[in-house]
Amino acid sequence: MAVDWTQLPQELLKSIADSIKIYADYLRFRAVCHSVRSSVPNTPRHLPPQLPWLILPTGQSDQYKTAFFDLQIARKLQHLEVPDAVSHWTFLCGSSHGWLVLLFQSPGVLLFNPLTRASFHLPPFSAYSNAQIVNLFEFEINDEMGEIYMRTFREMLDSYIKKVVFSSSPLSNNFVALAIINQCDILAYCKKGDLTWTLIPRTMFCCEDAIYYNDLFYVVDKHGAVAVCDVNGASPIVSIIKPQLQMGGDHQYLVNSGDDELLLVTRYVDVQYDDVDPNKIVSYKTARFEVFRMNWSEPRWERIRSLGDRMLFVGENSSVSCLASDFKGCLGNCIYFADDSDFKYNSVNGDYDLGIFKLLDGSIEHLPSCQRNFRSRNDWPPIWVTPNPC
Amino acid sequence: MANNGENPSPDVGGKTVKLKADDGEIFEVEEAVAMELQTVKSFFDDDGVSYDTVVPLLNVSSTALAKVIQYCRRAVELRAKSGDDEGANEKAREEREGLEAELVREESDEGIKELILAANYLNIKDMLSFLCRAVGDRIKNKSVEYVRRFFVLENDFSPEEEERTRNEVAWAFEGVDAD
Repeated sequence: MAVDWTQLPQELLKSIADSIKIYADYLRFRAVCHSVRSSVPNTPRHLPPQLPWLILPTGQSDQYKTAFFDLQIARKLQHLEVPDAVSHWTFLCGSSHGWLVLLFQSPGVLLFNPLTRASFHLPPFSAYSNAQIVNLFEFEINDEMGEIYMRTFREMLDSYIKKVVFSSSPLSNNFVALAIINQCDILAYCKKGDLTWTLIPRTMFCCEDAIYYNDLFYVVDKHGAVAVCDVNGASPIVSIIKPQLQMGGDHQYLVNSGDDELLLVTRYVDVQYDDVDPNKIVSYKTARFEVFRMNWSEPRWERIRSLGDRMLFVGENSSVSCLASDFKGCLGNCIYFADDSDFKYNSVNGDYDLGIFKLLDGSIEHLPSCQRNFRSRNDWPPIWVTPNPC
Repeated sequence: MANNGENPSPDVGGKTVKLKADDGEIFEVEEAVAMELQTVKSFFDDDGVSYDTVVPLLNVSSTALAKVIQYCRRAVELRAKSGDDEGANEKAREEREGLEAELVREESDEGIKELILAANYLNIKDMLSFLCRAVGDRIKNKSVEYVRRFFVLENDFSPEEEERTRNEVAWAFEGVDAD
């Protein structure tokens, strides 16, 4: 009994659309015919987090300066259209909820959504800061201990902003951003509509990563201690959790596993120095990762040897966890990593540090990469971003 | 009164309701099961409608109605099993998910579509929900043309409109499964 689906109530088409979990499937559904398109909203608001894209400099001419790599589409590079106003003189230092975090030279903070090409401004970091612009290329930083030191703009870009994470898309009313700045010692947040960033009184040093989960920000330091920050009220409330045993490694990342578990991912990097100049780095490559799960009752980080079907994405982005079975062409039990070195904008040789670490055998599969600073020192370094239509 | 193998007689003594499919076949079901179909519930909520009245379901085939009744009967049983005990709840939930998966797995594309229309017409929220999810799974990573054929919908976009859509999000139209 053939059925005439053009006579379907709109609610039914909408119910089917609501069960679609992948954005590309949603777009293709809307492309079927007029009656589907008019029944199904332009912007889906129900999608779970999508598989991240890898934004890459192509090392080519200015017209195709930036591309993205979609793990599902036969691993092909796709050209990314970025308005000149955005790409010119901006420096990429993070991504969260599908928005890239860009610093201007002035310095302002611009958020750019590569999927929708929307942009959004956040208050500039200098508005509160202990960093004064001395001239176009240098900053004078007043450390809380009373010490003053200088940083070039490029050094600032590389190391001043360690991480920026959001509670949600900046378009939502409850938007809050948290930043780890001044290399890793200062936490600052701003809520939607704020004109300046608010500092969180320092309770932890060497903050390495932060995530947002269940209305709270979780921040980890290089030894694995966790600061739980509640910035929902008028003043921030911070509690520190010090798990037994200090962690080692070169970088720490916090990831929400997706199964309500807090994971710690430790990155170990092999660094090679120049024979002649011992301060010059000639190679910076990730060797391996270790993964731990928080046991809250002790508290303690417990090593886990397998992620099952999960894929974790770490780097300068706000960490993401996905299930490989939800997406074609993806491998579970892997950590997809992008460059997180402190000299993305300085002259260091070699390729960017990218790849796929497989927990099963500890091997690393390479992702397309290119030479650091190949074409232009303003090229955006590789970063993961989750395509987000909101 | 038809009484085939798919419609075992309800217990003697329990209240029953008669439902008539589009081909005239009559199904006698326990009242609790019949009330899962919101359309049927509304039918009896009207004043003065006696429970002996046969409910005409003109838009539902007997095949679809038989499956709907079978699902609702199991759903009512499972709901009775769950209660305050978290363990029992969990088990009932798993059994229900197994039931849904089995129903969906056996159905052809035409069958699923027919069930969706039936569940929509009969207003059975839970059933409609998992059937829509099943359809979402069936069109996952499929081309636009495949989705059109699945729903038997004509492409009524102009060539210009279509080209514009494809250019705006070119990446979304690549990497689909071969039809």
